Amino acid sequence: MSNTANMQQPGFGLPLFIAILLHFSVIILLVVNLNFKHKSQPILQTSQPVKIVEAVKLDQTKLQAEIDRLKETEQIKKQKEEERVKQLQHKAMEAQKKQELEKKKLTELQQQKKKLEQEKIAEQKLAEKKLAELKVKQKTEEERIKKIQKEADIASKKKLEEQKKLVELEKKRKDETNKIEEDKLRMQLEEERLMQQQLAEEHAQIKAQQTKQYQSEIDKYTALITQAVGQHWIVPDNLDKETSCVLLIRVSPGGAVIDVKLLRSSGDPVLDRSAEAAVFKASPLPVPEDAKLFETFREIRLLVRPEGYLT
Amino acid sequence: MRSIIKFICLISLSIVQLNSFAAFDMELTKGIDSAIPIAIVSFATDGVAPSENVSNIVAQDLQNSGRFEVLDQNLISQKPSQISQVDYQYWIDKNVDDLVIGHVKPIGGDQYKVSFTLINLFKKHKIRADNIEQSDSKNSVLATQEFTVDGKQMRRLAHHISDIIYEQLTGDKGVFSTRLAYVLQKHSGTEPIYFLEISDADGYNAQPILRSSEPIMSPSWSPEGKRIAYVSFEGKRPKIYISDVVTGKRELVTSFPGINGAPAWSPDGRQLVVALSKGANPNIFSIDIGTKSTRQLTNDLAINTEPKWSPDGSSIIFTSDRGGSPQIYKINLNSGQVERVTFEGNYNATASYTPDGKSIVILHREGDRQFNISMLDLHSGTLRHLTGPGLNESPSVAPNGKMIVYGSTSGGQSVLGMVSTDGRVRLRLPNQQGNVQEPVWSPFL
Repeated sequence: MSNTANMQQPGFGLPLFIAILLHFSVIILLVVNLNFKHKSQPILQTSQPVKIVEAVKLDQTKLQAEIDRLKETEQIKKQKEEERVKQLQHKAMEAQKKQELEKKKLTELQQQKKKLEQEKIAEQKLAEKKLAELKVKQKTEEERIKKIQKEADIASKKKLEEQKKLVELEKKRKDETNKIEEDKLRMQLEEERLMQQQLAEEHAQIKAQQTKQYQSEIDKYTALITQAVGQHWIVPDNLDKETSCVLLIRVSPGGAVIDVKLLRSSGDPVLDRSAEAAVFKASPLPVPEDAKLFETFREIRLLVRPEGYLT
Repeated sequence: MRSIIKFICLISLSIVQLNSFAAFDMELTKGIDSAIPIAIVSFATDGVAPSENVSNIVAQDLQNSGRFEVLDQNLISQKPSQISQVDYQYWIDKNVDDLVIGHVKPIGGDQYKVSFTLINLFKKHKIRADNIEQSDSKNSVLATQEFTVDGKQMRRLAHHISDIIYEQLTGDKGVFSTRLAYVLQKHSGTEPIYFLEISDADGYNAQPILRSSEPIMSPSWSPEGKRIAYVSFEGKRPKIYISDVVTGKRELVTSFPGINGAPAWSPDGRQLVVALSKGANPNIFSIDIGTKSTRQLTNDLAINTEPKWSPDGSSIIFTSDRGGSPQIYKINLNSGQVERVTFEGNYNATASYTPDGKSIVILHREGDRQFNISMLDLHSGTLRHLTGPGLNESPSVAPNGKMIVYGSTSGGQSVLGMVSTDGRVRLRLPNQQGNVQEPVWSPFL
């Protein structure tokens, strides 16, 4: 409040002072903000503290300086304005000039056009002349080409003959190498044959053992499958040992029964049906997991004859 | 080029093993002795249900025969009435082999259209990997029929349907439409009353054809099922009569002094074979029903009774104690030769042939035990007990040879029992008010 005590101008001083203060502070703010905007800062704040607007102590000289400054800027503005106007006028004049130039250009172009047309006609005549000359040239060229082709044909014929000769030579060469190779192979085959013989003998021995094992496996699964079906087979009451039926059973890997066909009926539909039902009810059949062993059981021809009961 | 071919051949020879897809031969000779599992779906009724539940009667018939295991109704949640509604996999999962579905449709005036279908679940269907394909329904239907009956015939129709199903699935004729004859003894006040009654094979629809204040004994069906011969003590003396089942007319056949007993028919229905004592010991006689002329077949001092004619008409079996204890003997009608048939046990009596003539069913006792109903194979001599020891009597064989009805006393009351010849089922027939004795099974009617 000591500041207001310093100000002696009646009615005018305080408002002016406040206005200037406001202007000043706004300008300061703007400048400060602008400064911030232009700087492309990373997210992390700098260690520099934010600029804090500080209330500036006013004194007369500074105020006057300020007023002067403002006046200056006013003047500068004016000047700038005048300049601008001048520039605009200048531009207008230039525009006019341009227009006149354009007009000139247009008339010039029209003249040029006429000229060009005349030249065109002249050119055309020339062109026709040239065309005729060209034709003549072409003819001579064609004859020349013919000549050249003839020569080329002769040349290519020669080439073919030479190629043929080459091929024959190649063949001869190949045959010779083939012979050599054949001899080589023959020897190889002989060696291999001997090896094969040896292997075959060994194989035979192993096979004999395997077939024994194989056979016992087959027997085992035969028994398992027969048992499985038998356990589902409700034997009809009239146990006639004379009657029998034959079923053809198709099995998929895993034992699922795909199809049951009655190959030969027993004459008694009750027996036939009891056998068919038994096979379906026993599905999936206990077939071997080994793919090779399974192949044996892929199709089963089952003779069904009621002789008795499973104990 | 040549060398390449050679090489390929060499490789092929060493690798290839030709696969032959010939079928693998196997033999199946032993199975299980089991009842056929079957499901009977309650027949669909269009609202109004007749007084007799057809599917229930069929289920009971089949179950009581011992040849079928009928799926408990409580385990059934699907109720198809037409073949198009049948989900085959559902029934296969229930472990049944066959399925019976049907429909009872009232058509007014107490008349009904009854239809049924018997379906085999395994006939002509293919399994694709793990799934069951739609069965070829044409081939899976074993029987399908439609009938029009009135309410009173419903029970009889149900038995007829049972017969059809039984025959399709076992190959044997069903006896569900046959009848029984037996003697019923009631007490009115202090005096007993005797009835000769006929009922359905399951004991229902009992009807008396004779009522007497004196004992009635030994009823026997004629081969054509229209007449019954029996012994009546009316007039205080035993006489043999023949009554016509339908008309009730009766004819006196023998009234010799002494015992006139145990009548049995010849296969042609023209003669009876009986036991006559004529004042002395009973012997076996044959009688021509028309002429009443008799022919003596046994002539000795033993007790000879309970004769039965063989199905082929060539011999007669009977009970005799000529060997010291009651045993079964057989007389050849041509040669007159008599031979003993039973050798096991100390008592064998009341023999009757199975319809194929290959076995006889007898009352059999061993030691001091009670009586078994047993079956003797005449060719092999093998004796099989169908019941355990008990107060059993009068076995009679059903005309398909698969069931036996007999008398049994339990709790002081005489009742009728049934047993299947494979021994699988034993039943007791619905109790009458009184003592039921001497049952005989009718022929096919």
